[in-house]
Parts: sequence; structure tokens; C-alpha cells
Amino acid sequence: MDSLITQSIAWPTLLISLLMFGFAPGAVLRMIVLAFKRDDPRRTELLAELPHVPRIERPFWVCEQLEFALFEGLAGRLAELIGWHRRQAFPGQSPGKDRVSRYLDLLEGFITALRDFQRGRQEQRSIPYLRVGLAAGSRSQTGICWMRVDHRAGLDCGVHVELDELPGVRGQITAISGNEICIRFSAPVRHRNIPATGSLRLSYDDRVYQIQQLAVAILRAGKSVNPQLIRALVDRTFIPFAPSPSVPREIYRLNRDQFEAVIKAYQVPDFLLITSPPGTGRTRTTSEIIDQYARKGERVLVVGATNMGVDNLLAALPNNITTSRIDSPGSLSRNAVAIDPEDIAEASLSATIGQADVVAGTCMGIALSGMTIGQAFDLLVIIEAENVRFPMLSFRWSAPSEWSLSETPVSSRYSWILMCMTGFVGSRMDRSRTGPPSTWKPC
Amino acid sequence: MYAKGMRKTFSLVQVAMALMADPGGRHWGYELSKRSGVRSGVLYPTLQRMLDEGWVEDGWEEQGEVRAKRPPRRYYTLTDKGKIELGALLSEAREDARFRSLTRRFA
Repeated sequence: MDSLITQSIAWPTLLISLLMFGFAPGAVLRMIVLAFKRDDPRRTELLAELPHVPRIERPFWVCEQLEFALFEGLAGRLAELIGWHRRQAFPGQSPGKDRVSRYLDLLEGFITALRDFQRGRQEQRSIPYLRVGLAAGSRSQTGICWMRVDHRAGLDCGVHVELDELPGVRGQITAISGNEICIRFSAPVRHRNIPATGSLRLSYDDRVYQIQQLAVAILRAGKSVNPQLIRALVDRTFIPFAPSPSVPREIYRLNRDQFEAVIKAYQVPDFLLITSPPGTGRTRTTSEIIDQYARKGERVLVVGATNMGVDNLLAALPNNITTSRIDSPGSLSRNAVAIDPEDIAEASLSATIGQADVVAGTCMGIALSGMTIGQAFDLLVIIEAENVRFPMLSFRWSAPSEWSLSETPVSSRYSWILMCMTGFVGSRMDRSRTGPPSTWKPC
Repeated sequence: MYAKGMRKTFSLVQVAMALMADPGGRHWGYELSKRSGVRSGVLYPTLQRMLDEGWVEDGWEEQGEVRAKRPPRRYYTLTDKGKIELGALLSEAREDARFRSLTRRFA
């Protein structure tokens, strides 16, 4: 430091500085303006001003610009240079892509933390069972059975359990009555192989976690069916809506607002949010939108938070639409079609789903159905979207194309989202099989 | 009332006076610095803030206007909003004892 000070006040240095500022102020100024950012207009402005400064004043004026550039421009220029060097070091990562990576890293961390949290909540204590039997209506002795348990601590519909006596055999509780539980096993198990008494314990089902991981991997690889999806999630950007002159046929059973919502859903390129209070025709409008897509030969996936919402929408669909309804039998509402788990195990599920115009189910039901092999859909309808906890993602929608069925302000509680994306998958349920929900009784 | 984002300082009043001396004309950086008596290290940030507020607009000389061998210069012109805001600023400054010595010249 001392040597630098000594050098700077040395006669030769001072002389060179004076000569530079006095005889070549333009050259000095050209170096000074480099302290401003590359696109800063002051770079050109100061150079253009120099010829208008009287020669005698130029050295002093240039000195002033040095001070100006150091205080006003240098910080921004350094930030720009650092950013440039980073881009050189990581040439594949544009700033936008870096944001996507950070978002997905955060999402992955959140998913893992959620899994660890849920796994930690699972009670490891064994629960004794006293009797085992077949579920009513089971044609074979595999897949589903009932048990009388000693106590129900921690047991509930949808909870996964495994048998202590048969390691690796896991199932899901589909119904509960008193101390009796109905278990659907994920793999065929003969009930005679199950000890008459024994114990079971809660089991963490990591299928949701695996699906979430898969979704993140698909997004990270840029292979989502709708390429706009990641931009919508990270940057909240949506493709602008441009009305097209080609509109669907006139739909006389809809009012003007509903009709315009259908047209918009028909034309919007990526996402449409429909909001409306109850009684304004959400179900009718959405069923008409689905009908329009089905008429074009395009496939629709309907998901919702609850079975009731999904079933209500399916009930409003025209009869000529082929529908596959997916979910666990124990959780179906009264409007749902009946299913036989043994039929599901035996039938060609993919073919059935592949032939359906509309596949529907709850988000969790579809995700956990085990049929997670990509079937492409042209339209995804998420009903009561604010209540949906996506198996793959949880996110807020800020400004997609929006249409309200009512002019009154509506709460986001009543929002429905239609999205043209996807690579969702599901297992099958044959809607033509009508009847009550699957029931069971001890035998 | 002028924008609250701009603090009323000596340099702002001086630049405002220089600009309002020719409200319809083009103003150049060096010339503005000489007329206002404000150093360029203060003048250019002040002009930048005025640009951000929409009080002035900037532009560049057309190539046809440049006779000598020199690059086109950047100029600043007052907008209608700027004329109103700077007029209000100078009115207030005239009432303010701190700026009386400055505004006496402008009046």
C-alpha cells in the first residue's frame, strides 16, 4: 500500500497523468466510460459532449467524469461483468434456465421434506388383529379381506398397512366399521395364507413421493406435454389469448356468459381459469366444454379434490361420451359407479382407459391407482382447483386467461381451472357398471 | 405539487431554473451544466431521475444535424408534465428562504 501511494505521487506518474489528461482527454474519457454498463447511454453521451467542452477545460471536465463514472456506473458494470463471467463458466445455463433449476431444486427439497415428515408421523407400533375374513362379493380369495382389530389407533380409510407375519404384503384400508377394517392388498394374497390372528402396522406409502419425483424429473428434462407449464409455474407467464373466428356450434342450453366461457376454453392456447359462485352453471358449462373436446375426438382428463365433485360433473356429461372413472371403492360417493377390484385386476385396464373420451378421478386416486404409464390427454379439467392438492405440485395461479360466469366478485373458493396440457395417467373404472359403492361384510 | 420522489435540493432547483429558462428548447448535458452551475457528477443523476419521473424526454441528434466529425449528442426536452412540475417546484422555491438567493435571478 505504501509503495502504491509512493508510486502514485512520484513525479513520473504525475507527469504522465497530466500529459494524458491534458493532451489525450478523449482517450482517457474512452477508458472512463467503460465503467458504465454496456447499454448505458451515458457511454456515448459523454464522448459526444467532449468536443463541446473548451480545450482548456477538458482535463478538468474529464476528471469530473471519472468521479461520476466511479460513483454512478462502476457498481452496475461490475455486476454486469460478474454475470457475464458466470454465464461463460456455465454456458448451458441461461438466467431463465437457472431460475427454473432453482425452482425445481426448491420443489424437490419440499417434496422430500414432506415425505420425511409423513414418514415420521407413521406409528411403528403393531396393532393386533383377531379375525380375518373375505369381503362380501369377492369371487376369488385374493385382493381384499376384512379384519377385526384390537384397537383402531391410527387406522383410517386410505391408510396403508402391512402385515407383520407376511413381510412385504401391503394394503390400503378401504372401509371401517367399528373395530373391523376392510383391506385391499396391492398384490393378490390368498386370505388363507394370512394367519387367523396376528398384527399389522401402519406402512408409509411412498408412491406419491415417487410420482412427485417423477414429475419434477419430467419438468427438469423439459419433457412436459405442455411445454408452457414450467414457465407458468416459475415465471407466471401465459400465452396471450387471441380470439379465433372459428367457434363451436351454437349451444342453446347455455346463457351468454356460459357460452363465451365455452368459446374461450375452446380457443385458449394454454390455461383458462373459470371462476363463479354456486348456481351460475359451472357444471353445465364445464360439461359443455368437455363435450366440445370429445366431439373433436380429443381426450379429456378430469381431476378434482373430492369424489363428489368429480361424480357431479360426470353425471352432467352427455350419454354418448365414454367415461372411465378411477378411484378407490371405499371412498366413492353415492353418485359414483360401482367397481369390483377383482375386475380391475383382471381386465385390460390400459385398453379400457385408452378407449375412453373422458377419464376422471380424484388427484390422489389417479396418482395412486398404480397405472402411472403416460397416456396423453388434450385437455385437463381441474374442478374446484383451489381444493386440489396436486400429487405432483402445489402452486398458485396468478394470471391465466380468466373468465367469470358472474359479474359479482367471486371467491377463489369457487374457481375451476381448465388446462390444456398433460401426461397424466390413470387406471380404469367402467362407468357403464352402475350401482351402489362396493360394500363388504364379515363372512 | 411536484413529485415527492424528488427531494428539493439546491442542485435540483438550479437545474430546474436552467431548464425552465427555455422550456421548449433542447438542452445538452455540458451546456446545462454550465448554465445551472451544477457539476456533471450531480447533473446527470438529476437528469436521470427527471427522466424516470417523466419530466424530461431524451433523444439523439439526427445524423443530418451533425456537421463536424463528432458523434451525435444526446439532448433533453421538457415534457408538459415536467413544465408543470418544475414550475411548481420553482414557485415553492421562491417562497423558501433557503433558495431565495437562487430564485431571485430566475424571477
